Amino acid sequence: MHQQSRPTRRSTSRLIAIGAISMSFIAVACGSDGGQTATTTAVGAVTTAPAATTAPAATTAATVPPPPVTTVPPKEKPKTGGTLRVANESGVSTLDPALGLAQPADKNIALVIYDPLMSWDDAGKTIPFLAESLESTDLKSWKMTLRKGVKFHDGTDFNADSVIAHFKRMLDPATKSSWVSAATRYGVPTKVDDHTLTWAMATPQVVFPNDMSGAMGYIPSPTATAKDSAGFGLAPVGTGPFKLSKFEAGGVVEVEKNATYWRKDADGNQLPFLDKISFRGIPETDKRLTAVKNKEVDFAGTADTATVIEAEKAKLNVQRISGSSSTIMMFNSKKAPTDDVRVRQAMAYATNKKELNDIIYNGARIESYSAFAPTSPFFNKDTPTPKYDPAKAKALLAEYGKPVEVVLECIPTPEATQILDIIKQQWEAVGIKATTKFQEQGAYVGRIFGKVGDWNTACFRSNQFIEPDQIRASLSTDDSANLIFYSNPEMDKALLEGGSTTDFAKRKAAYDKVQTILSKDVPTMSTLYDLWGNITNTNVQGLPSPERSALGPIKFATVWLK
Amino acid sequence: MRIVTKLFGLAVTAVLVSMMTFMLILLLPGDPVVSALGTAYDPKSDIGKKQIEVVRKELSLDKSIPLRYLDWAGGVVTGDLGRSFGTTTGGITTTRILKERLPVTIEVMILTQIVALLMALPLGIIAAYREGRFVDKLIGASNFGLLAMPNFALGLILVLIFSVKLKWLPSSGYTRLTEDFGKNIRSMVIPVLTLAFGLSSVYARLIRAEMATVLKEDFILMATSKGIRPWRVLLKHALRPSSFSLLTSIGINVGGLIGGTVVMEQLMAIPGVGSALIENIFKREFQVVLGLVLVITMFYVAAIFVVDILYSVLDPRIRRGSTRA
Repeated sequence: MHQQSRPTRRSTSRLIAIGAISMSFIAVACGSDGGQTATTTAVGAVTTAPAATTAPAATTAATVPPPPVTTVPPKEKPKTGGTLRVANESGVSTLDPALGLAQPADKNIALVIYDPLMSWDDAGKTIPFLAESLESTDLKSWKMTLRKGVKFHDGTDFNADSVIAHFKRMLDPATKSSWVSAATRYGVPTKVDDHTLTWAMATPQVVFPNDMSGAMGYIPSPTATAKDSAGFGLAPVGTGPFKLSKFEAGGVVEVEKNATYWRKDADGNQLPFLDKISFRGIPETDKRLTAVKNKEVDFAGTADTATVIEAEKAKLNVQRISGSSSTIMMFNSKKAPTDDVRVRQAMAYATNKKELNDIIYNGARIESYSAFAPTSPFFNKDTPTPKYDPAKAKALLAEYGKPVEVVLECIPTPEATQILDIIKQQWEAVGIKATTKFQEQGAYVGRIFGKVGDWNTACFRSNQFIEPDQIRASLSTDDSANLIFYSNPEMDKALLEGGSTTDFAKRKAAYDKVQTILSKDVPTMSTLYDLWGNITNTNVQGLPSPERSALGPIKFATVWLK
Repeated sequence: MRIVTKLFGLAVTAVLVSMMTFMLILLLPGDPVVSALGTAYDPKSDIGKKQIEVVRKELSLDKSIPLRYLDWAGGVVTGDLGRSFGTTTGGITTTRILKERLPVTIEVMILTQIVALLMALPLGIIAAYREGRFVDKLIGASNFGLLAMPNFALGLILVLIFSVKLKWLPSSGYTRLTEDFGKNIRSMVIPVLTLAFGLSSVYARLIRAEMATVLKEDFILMATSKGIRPWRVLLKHALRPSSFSLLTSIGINVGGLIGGTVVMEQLMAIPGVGSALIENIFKREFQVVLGLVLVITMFYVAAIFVVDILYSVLDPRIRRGSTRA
């Protein structure tokens, strides 16, 4: 089965949901905000307008208007009421933001229950959200003022104490927080007054506003976490537009309108519009599409290209979201033969990404040759990243002079099987002896994260980060998040430069250098940008724009039913 | 006394199964601490080390294997079936998982058994009555066909017909009985039929085989020669002694349907015990896996125990201690 030469597109779509779940988990492992995250426009915007520090309205205004909301299409006056039925690719296990919210389904639901301290506008610039302002002059000392008059669903006041409690909880080993590394770098903030906090960090942290926009910045009720910290993820309490009314782990999760929500939309309408949202997991992507077609659900997301195309053919409303992540092959830099740069380069030259795209995705995806998306201001199109050239691959292997034998590894999903089978044949065509190995997710992830280092090439899903400094950990020498044992002092220096300033020109120069080194060292090889689709029936209105949705989980506060 | 002996055997089986499951889980590759902490796993930093310690302690990894088993078993006796400990699963207790998912699975199991029996009994009886005739061969061939067809394929065909084309039934999902009876029944039709078709063909074959033998017995000949109507002979005289294999199969399938309907659950998005088991195996939540396996095992064991008791109801010779003919 694994040796098939020309897998068909249909076969991919059948059980892809399982793959999507698994791969999304891996994506999170890369340390970003997960599933459908950074878009390319986002990366630049953060840099050109460094964090929230230059947002005048945010830093000076006494009362800050709610962040602008762009919806597609913003034509009719929104109606209030109704229940939105959402089909996610999996059931939800925990909604505790301190635990990282691994699955896209978790994030979808979490963002209706919690509000983040910061957020992104449609252009990807970080803006205050639950915070009123965030300022820093040196990226080490930060001052945050908080929105006043906001209450958690349990009646607790949102104030400086809630943020402090959240940071303390993330730093408590008993919480087992996914954000412990970042929280250690930032430290527990100091309370200036009820609505003002300061942080004093040891090193410049350009990524801080961005982190406060993701799950790490979702603030839970301190009363609820104090009552039952371990079980909080099953009974979450936030300040968001909806409050939890039903939680079945792996089953249905329902939320009800928070009647006293603090936000209004751009036209002054009180948010949210919906009375209720019901979320449930339908693992099969085909079944999610059928459920929308049959009007059993109103909204479904999919990571499967074939389903996106099929939904468009069925005249459903489809938002195409591309460039937020890509499937990559990681190379182990300390294990022969991938410890030799010529072998890694040869593998990159031997990989025909167009063929991958045509066979598996009907040509619907975009080939990826960078850790940055092509529309990012940091993307350098002149970077000499290896493109398909079997002759060059053969020449490099000849120069290496020894037989090259590798095992291509991934989790056993149909999609991953197809990708690996095709790459295997492409590599064999230039003389690399390749075999494939599939291991179930738990053991696979355990081996990669445990840094066992017994692998040569391993598939992964990598996010195109909103804030380019997020790439630093995975490529820095000896960083715990550097899973590929890659080390290059020049790279360390360039990453440090890029992450220590808000000056766009300096950062651009630093990340140009990063991309040039990456293209030469080839520690990983990006293949295709992922394509995500939000599929809805025509009665669903007010969805955030595809650009906004690509930045992070869908925000349902502005959604209404016709 | 016989029941007491059987109950004792039941307890021994449960203990042995739990020990074996415990050992099997130890054989799984990968460090459970890494699985639990995921992105937070950092053996280098101080706080990372502390987190690792917390998880090791929570999982009793600092103790020897027998002590770990005793810890777990002690919890079970007091009603604590463990809880999830990973960063992606967030501390849900096995008891809560069972509370949410067991009713779903039990409903599927009961309805499947009823539907399968309703389909199998007439077919099995007719096939036995008309042994060797065209009807018997037709039923036999149909049963083979249904038996050979994988559940998921049948499920997809039913979805295609009843959900996609006719739009009579939901294509996936589950509505709880307590929420909406009508919706609950509609959400159960495809999953139950998917499972019941295959099962009914097994049941029908068992009834046919056993009844065909019984129908050749002297007491049936006697009943027939007395002029008793054929349907009365079949249902009143022949069915009961033809039900032993069927009863055993029903018992085994009670356990099978509790934990072994993962494909159907995945396909139809039914939040049952089987899918909970698979999810937790993938997430290395071995405390939860242990708890779930124990409960599934108990269903098997209890069902077989009940079947044993029912044998003696069906056959007075067993009650009296003599062996069945």
